[in-house]
Amino acid sequence: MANDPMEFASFVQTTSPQLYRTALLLTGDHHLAEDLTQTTYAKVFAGWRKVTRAGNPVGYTRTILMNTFLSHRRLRRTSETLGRAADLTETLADSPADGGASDADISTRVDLLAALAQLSRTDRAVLVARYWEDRSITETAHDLGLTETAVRTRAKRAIDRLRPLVRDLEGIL
Amino acid sequence: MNDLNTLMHASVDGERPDVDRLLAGAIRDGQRLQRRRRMSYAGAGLAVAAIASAGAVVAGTRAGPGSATDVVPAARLTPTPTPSGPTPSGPAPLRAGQTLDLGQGMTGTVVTCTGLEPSGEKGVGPDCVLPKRYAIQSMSTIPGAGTGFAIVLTGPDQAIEDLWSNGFQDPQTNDYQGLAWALEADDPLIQPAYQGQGVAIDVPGWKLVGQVADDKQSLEGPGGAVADIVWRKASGYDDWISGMKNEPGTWTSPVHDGVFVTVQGGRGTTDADIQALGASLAWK
Repeated sequence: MANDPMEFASFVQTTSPQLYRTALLLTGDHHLAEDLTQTTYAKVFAGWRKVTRAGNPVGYTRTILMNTFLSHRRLRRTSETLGRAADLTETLADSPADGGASDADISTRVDLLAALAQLSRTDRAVLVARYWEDRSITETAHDLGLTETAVRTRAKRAIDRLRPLVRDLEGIL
Repeated sequence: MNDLNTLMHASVDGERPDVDRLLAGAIRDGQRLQRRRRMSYAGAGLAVAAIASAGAVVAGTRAGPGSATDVVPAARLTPTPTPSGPTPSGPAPLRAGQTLDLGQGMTGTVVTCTGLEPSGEKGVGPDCVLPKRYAIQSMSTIPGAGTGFAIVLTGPDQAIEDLWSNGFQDPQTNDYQGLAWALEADDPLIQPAYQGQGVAIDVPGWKLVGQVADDKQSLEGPGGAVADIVWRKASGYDDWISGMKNEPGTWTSPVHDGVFVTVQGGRGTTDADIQALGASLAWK
């Protein structure tokens, strides 16, 4: 095989937790996040030699994740909507697995993931790029194929929409 | 650092994928992609050669949707490269009834969207509306030469699955941004595996949570451990077994009533948990 499975395996071991969390913020659903992450790594594996030659496999992989998320509306899973986010919030709210997380912490998680699910996919991608990955306006615009003005406008509009939905955002942003 | 960043961390920190399962799936799907790319490129070369020598038209393995009144060679959909780059007029326009040989016995038939619903987002193309006999599987968000058209796929399940896994990327349609991809609504490929074949588990501290959705149902156990039951079509059993041989953290049932289920571990589960859950599983 042309690819080096051990090298690829090591790459996945190292990078998958962060990539999966990014996918979780984008999709709001564990299953969809797993699917998105796996699809991303499959594409990376298929072009692994090219990826490693490019010199920044992490950045390349992140771009593939975003493009995969944005480029097609995956309608096969008909419940990729707020309904799944609601399922997730129920799971989180019922779950004692938060290692002593307070009710407020859990509430924040519930609020934010459910609220993100109400945004358009592009707006979610903008917020995740800007505030989770800490990408600049310019980088976000380049990554997502938007103008810098569009990134600013979308980010402001998205946060305006999130503010009343997420208690901890009120009066902060 | 901003407060939204902090909230995002509070929301997903501690979440971890099942890396072993993720890796196995990524390699399996990645190898499929590699095979598909090789076959697709080889198929495109053969198609061009056949057209040049005999003026052949493309034929599918089974009848495509609608009346293919305007069957054209697949190669016509791909702009001819010139030394000066792409032609200024862009790719040839699509027409309803055109068919594409997508390789691996798969045929795509171009149909016209019966309506276009604005996305409401700047820079994002409209949504294609098709008659109910079709089920859209994917839609490019970028407006372009493919906007207003959908390609309805017919052919072997595996070929369609591979194309789906590849994000519906095909060399022949790369220049047609805005395309939608669809299947016949009654295509067995997109019918859910779960048709009411319920299960029960009997392991202290574990319970089924919620309803079956997208052929999956969650399990919750002691200490917040989570796992999933996934319903899968019996037709995929042999492939699943061969691919998952010796795979830890997964339990696979025998085939029952046209389906089999797998129990797969998530956060906080051990392989012993999964095997115990599987051993206790009973069909209802």
